[in-house]
Amino acid sequence: MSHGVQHRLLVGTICSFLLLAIAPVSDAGSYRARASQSDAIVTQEDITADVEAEIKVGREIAARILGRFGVLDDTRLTRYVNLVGKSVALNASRPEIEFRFAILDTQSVNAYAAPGGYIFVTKGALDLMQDEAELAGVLAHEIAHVTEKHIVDELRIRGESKSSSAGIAALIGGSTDAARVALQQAVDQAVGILFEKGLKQEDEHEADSVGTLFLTNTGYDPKALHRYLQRVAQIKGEQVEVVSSTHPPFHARINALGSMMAEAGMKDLEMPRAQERFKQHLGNN
Amino acid sequence: MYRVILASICTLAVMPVCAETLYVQSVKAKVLSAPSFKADQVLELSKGDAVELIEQKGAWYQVSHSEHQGWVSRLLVAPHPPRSKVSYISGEDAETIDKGARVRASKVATAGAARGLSADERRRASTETVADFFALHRMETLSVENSEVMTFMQGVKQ
Repeated sequence: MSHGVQHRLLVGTICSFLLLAIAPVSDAGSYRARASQSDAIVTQEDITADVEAEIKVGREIAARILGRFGVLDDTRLTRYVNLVGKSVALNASRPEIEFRFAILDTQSVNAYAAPGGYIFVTKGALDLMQDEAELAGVLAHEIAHVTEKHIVDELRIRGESKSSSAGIAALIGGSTDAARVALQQAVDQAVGILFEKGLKQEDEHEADSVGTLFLTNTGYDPKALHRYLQRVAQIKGEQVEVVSSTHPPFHARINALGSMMAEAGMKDLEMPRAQERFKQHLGNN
Repeated sequence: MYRVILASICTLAVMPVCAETLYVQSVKAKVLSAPSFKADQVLELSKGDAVELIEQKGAWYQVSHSEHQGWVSRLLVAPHPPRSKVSYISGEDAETIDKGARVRASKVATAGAARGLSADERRRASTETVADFFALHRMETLSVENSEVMTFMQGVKQ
């Protein structure tokens, strides 16, 4: 082998090693952290601005939800729901969000989440629950809508930062007339989603799965949300307005959640339901 | 010259691959011996604890922490430390609302009943019937201490 060939071979070998050394580590599969790789180039100020914009829109939506149904005037029960909900929130993601909970004064069976951590459950839904784990499961589902930013992504809510996209994203953090109009349009759109159109079916399924994970991490029976959904699905009659028009069919949700729990090894877990404490506050049988 | 180059190649060949660091976001996160909730617990991490990512398998990450290795749900960790709470303050002139007053937005008649709201919310509360900022304010000012929540969580085990 000539001297020149040896030289080229050696240089080629060196270059190969250098490329291997600086190549990104290929972790098995992509994951949420890579999806938010923009965190590496977005400042803390940008993230705070985004969350502030999310809260700004969320509280407007929350006021509309409260205006539509009215809030149940029961301080003790509301405090109990907040303790259950905040327990789950502590065992979830997005610690930058202050989750808050209220009970809507209606016999319809439903629950709602607004961006920024505003969570609602109806009196009708509470009356159907049999233990604290089921309450935690329903609240965990709504918390998951916030942690996974389902409505935020639908509305593309962003603060005023260089990470913002155009249109409503750039305007929503401002105080101009255009910003106010953009805010109200976003709120109108979100209310339409919550009360009429519904979120994407995949978002509802994700909220069921993610919520069940949060429920389990908190220490409650992981089967609670699944059990509650099965009970709601059995309700017949015109007296009860059941959540269905804005959600996927119950059988689809129940089957999907059951499969997830089986795959994750949750189905055989025996964990607390906190039935007694629930009865003390709700007075159910 | 070639000895120097050869030494460099050998150094590069044994350089450790930089692992990704993830941080626990929830108040606690269990690390299990296998990617299943049926598996045995290896250890329990606390909020802010850093782990090194080894591998991903579905909804699970295999991680290492100190001398331990195990699997944690990917939903409970993120590539940044937990962020501080972000709050939203409604208006510069917010005052404490009268706790006894449950007034719907459409029934506001006096300035006194609108205490606790920003100027913009007071204006809108008096003209709109579809938003209840009074109830929102009560929702936002309901105070529940973290210590109370932690004590309440202990009751779940009973």
